[in-house]
Amino acid sequence: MIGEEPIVPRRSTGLARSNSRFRHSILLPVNLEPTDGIEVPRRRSFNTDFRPASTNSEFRNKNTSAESLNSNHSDDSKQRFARPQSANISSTGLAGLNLSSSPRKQTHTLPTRPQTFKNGNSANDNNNDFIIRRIQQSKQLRSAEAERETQNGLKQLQRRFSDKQSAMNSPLIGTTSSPSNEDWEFWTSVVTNYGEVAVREPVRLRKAIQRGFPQEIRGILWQVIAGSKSAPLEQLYDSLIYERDIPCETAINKDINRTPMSGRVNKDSLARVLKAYSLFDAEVGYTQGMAFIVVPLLMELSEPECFSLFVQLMKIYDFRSMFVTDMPGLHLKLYQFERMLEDGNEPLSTHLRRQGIHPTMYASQWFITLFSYRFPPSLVERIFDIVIAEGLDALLRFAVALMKEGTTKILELKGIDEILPYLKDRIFDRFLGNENELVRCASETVLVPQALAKYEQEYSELTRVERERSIQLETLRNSNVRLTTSNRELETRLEELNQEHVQLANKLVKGSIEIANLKGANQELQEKIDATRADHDFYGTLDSTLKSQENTIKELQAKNRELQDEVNLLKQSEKVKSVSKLLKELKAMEETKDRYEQQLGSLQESLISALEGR
Amino acid sequence: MEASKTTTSVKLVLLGEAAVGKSSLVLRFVSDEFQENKEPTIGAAFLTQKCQLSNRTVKFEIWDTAGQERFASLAPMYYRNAQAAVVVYDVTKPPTFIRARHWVNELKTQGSPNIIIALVANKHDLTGEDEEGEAGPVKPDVEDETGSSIVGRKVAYSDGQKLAEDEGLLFFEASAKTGMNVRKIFLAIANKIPIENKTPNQSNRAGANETVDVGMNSSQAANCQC
Repeated sequence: MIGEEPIVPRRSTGLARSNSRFRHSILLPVNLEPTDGIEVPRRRSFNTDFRPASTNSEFRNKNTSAESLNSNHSDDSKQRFARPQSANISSTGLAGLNLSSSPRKQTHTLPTRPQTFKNGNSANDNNNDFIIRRIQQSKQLRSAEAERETQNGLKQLQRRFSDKQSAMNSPLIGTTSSPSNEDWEFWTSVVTNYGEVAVREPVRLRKAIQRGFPQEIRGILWQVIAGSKSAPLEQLYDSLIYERDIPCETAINKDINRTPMSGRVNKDSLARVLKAYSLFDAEVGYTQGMAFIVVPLLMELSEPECFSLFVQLMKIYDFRSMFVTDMPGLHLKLYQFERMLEDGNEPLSTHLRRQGIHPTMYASQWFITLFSYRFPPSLVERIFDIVIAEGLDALLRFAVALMKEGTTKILELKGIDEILPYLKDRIFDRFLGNENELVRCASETVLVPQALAKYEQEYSELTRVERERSIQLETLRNSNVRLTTSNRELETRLEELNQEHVQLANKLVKGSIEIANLKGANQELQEKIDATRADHDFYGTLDSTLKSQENTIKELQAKNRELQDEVNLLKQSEKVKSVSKLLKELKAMEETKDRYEQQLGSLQESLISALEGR
Repeated sequence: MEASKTTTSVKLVLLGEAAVGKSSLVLRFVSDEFQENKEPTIGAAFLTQKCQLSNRTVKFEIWDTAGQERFASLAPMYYRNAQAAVVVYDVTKPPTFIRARHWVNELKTQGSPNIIIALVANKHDLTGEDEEGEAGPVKPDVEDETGSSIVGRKVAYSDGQKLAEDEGLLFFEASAKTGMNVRKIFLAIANKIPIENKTPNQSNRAGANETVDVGMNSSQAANCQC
């Protein structure tokens, strides 16, 4: 969502140097070189450089430190910000406290405290630990220069406080607006030297914070306690709001328009603070849920002060870990919360687990928004009071207290669809109009730093195992993909081979059939040949017989012809004889005939004469 | 026919980029309502709704997740063990379709093996097309006219359909605003849910039906009293 190329701080010219140095030194732990910090966008006057580094390549190539910063950025910046390896601790206001070298170690080794602390009971000690630990950690995480700015800011706040105080004490307004029971003297000492009050009067301070900050000075107290008032940051804000190229702008505007809660403040102010932060911390940019933290702040503070306090909460209080990619801070808080329930409220923990309900399902929104997603503002401002005094871990107090107070009710409920709506929307109902009760319950919730550290260790061990498992899984998945591919190839080849095999087998079968057919045909032919051969022999003899017979026939025919000739000769002589006989007979017959004709003529004449005679 | 219908509980998760209308789809399905500016979901929301089918009741336990990519590390908690998923994109915003593709891939690799996934192209009302013409020819992109609520389609129907076909998903174009196809989505999923593991013959029947059959589902819509 954010431009992928981080913004590179200007470090190439002397002119820019003073600017970038001062911004880094404010925001960075003192043990770090200015080059190692989170990059901070330039003011508007330098905004030609304020764009993705790709457009700045010439500049980057000339500057190796900027390059190394660039490459280190995504891996380490968060870690460096949240947990410095060592810290230069100013002893101002914390005389008598032995501070361990890192906040992480501190959770194991509690600070040695002066004798006066022994008065409190153990729960009080624990509570106080968190206030003092918060002060120590803030100081460790702030550079010397940032600390100076904080002190300057403090002076401003002190002036504003005394103005308010005198206004309230004046006979004109004082009687109407000032709550009579507020211990203004004590608040004055808090504003004057918070660190010292935390050490000298821990019980009184704790009780005062638990009662809730007076509404009139809530904004001042938040800034005093967080040490957030910073002229350079406020100036930076004033320049950031003129930026036009804001990657998260659409998302921010869209969310503000659809978040009813943003109506409690000026929506434009809210949008400006969120946009400025998204530019200031490009790695986080804008995450849904941030608005729910900024709105309560904006209700008490001016825009630049709100920005500055939000920056402190994100960086120094490490709210940031809840908003970066993968949200490790949120997951850690959820785990610590789950374990606190397990260890401190076993029946409820078991009940929820049996019903399939995991803290992620309801407590994510509690932590990400500091309870302001669903909780009413009257409760939220009280939660903010304590979180600002004690740090992010105080969220666990409220979460565990809410669960403890709701235990009876939750145990009666069955199933996700009964329990979850209660946890998300109704668990705070009993504290409406009775905010002190919630704060009291939360304060009574014992938060043991050692236990939290133990849970954190468990969690990092779990995530390490989980990560290893997922790497393993990933390796297996990759090799599975490879094997699947090669398997597929082999299968394809096998299929080809099978097809070839089938073709060959078919050919073989066809061949066999052909051979069988040919054999049959061959047999037939052989038989035919044999038969023909036999026929051939038979006809051979027949032929010779025929020939001899023919000869015989010819001989016989010749004889026959001779005989015929003889016969003819004989016949001719015979014929001559008969012809002469016949000729004689014929002559006789002709003589007879003539005689008859003469007779006939005479008859005719006699007949004619007879007729004529008549 | 039977007096006592069996009830099957189904864990369903909604996934998709921020502001594509996941919560609005659920609100339409559960309450038949629509809110123009629905609040962003932080973490996840949980709602239930029952669907009456002819032979049984399906009770959806719906996990409506936060859409912003930053919240992705919370999602496995919700899609783990989910029997069904609705992956939503905004038909007027192509990047949300890319994100939907990622969610489908993640569900395929990390989700339950037999998870039923419905791909839903929401905000159909902004395309300015008829609801009936959902399967018709794709209209060419219309330029985003500032001030006009009709933004025009930016993801083709065929793109969604192709992804659904490639991955074996149910596919609908829908509008939480007008209610178009919203019930159909959940009915189609309900109809694909095996009745109970105890009755394997039934589950086989449901499991075997791999193809998307919108026609059949719409004919069953009359039976849904959700």
